[in-house]
Amino acid sequence: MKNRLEQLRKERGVRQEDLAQVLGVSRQTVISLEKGKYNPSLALAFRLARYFCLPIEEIFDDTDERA
Amino acid sequence: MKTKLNNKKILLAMAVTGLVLMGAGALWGYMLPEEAHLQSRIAGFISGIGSSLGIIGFVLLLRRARLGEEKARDQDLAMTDERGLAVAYRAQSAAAIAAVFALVAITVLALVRGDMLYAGTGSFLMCGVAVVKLVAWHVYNKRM
Repeated sequence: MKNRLEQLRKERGVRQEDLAQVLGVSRQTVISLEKGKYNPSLALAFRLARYFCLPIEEIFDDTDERA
Repeated sequence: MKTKLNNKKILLAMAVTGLVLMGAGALWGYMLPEEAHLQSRIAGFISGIGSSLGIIGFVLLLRRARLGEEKARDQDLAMTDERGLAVAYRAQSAAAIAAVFALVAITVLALVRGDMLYAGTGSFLMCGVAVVKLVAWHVYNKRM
């Protein structure tokens, strides 16, 4: 699933390490999320949405999944 | 367990306790007369536990020293966060499939060699694996 995580993180000037710490996951998980190699659980998606103060659908794009 | 093993003091205590036990067990075993079989086994047991603890403690301490505190903590988290668990689940599934194939191979080999005890045991175990999977599927199907 595509997402805007990397863009949002860079816009806010946050390091991957810091985002990982806030989310309670490893840096490797943040890297995988940004590359779209790993889809987060609903709980992690909500944590991300709360962190960026955005609705989930503005972070993740599921158009490929729906097609 | 994870949090405790991340603590440097506990790792150091584990390594030192292990070394002390290993030394004590070895020394006790060395001092025993030849006919003291039971005590010799206990000494071997203590020495074995000690060497295991000592080696695990030192390997984990070395790993922390090599990676640094922050990276070691991140790698520990990478094993236990949700992605780590998903990776472990897939690896475990692959290992389970490999184990079943190995069981089939051993059973076929036993059949070819005419060893009916091993062939029968292998077949029984394969049926057991199938039953476990069926039961587990039904249990998890109800829970989720």
